[in-house]
Amino acid sequence: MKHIIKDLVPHRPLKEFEYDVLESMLSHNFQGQTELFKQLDGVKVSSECKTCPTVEFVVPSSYPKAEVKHRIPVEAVAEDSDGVKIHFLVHVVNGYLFELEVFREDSERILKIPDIDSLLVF
Amino acid sequence: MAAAAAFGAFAALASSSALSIVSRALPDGSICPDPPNCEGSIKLPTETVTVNTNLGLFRGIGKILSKAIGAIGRWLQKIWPRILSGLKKFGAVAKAGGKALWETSKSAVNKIKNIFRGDPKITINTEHAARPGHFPNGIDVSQVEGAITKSVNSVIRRTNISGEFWGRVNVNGTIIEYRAFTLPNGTINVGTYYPIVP
Repeated sequence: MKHIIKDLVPHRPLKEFEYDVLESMLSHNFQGQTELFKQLDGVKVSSECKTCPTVEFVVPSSYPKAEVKHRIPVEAVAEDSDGVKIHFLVHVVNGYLFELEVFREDSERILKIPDIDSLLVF
Repeated sequence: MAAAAAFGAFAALASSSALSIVSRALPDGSICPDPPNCEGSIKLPTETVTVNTNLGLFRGIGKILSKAIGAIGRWLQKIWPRILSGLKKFGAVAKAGGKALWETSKSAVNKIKNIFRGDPKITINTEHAARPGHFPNGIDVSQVEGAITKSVNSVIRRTNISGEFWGRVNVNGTIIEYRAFTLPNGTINVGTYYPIVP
């Protein structure tokens, strides 16, 4: 599947699904979680993919930086309607939310966005 | 055969790329949330980086040799039962010796075949990873994906790893982590890759 990524000007607020996914994942306990959860209030989407739910973020520098151990401090997995796993990765760069990456293990188009309740966050 | 083995060893050495592989499937069936630090996950040593090695010619010769060795192996497999039945005349001891010889030769043939076997199909479909701003200046995406392909090939040649596994490559001093998934058709799909520095 070819991804079509579009930069957004102006940046847009999170869609409900994006907010719910981030809220669910950032509620998990990990180093830097408190600061990243606070950033959720000010995060805007700077680019989005037309063929998948992946989005990139900007966060005002007035928000506190998160000290994370890894670029992907938290992630989640769920199943698509055909059983193929979908991975949700929160990327953090320079202490700020940078990207919510969502992809199927076979890199094909996601058939059905899973329910938030079905996310296994770790 | 000895010359082929020596050539294989050289080719395997020359094709090594930076490698640090971990499997997310733990012995108890659970998923490792942080593979580099999970007890029980598979860990292979990191190797010397050789990103730009061009082994096209070696791979071509290797594939031809692989086919030839495979043909010899199949021929041996065909004629060996007849040899074994002949050995019956010499009693059970001779038969056991013949079997041991067969197992040894079969194992050697398989090992050599593994060295020369063709690369698995590897797909990398991560336009998101290749976006501007994801990598430091001077890192070329084609170089990164080439290094990842070599790393995955190296892993497949050395291990029986399957399912999801992570690896790391070093491109011009930048450590890049990738996540690979073995699909039902045997293809290895690299779902994402990113620099590890947060």
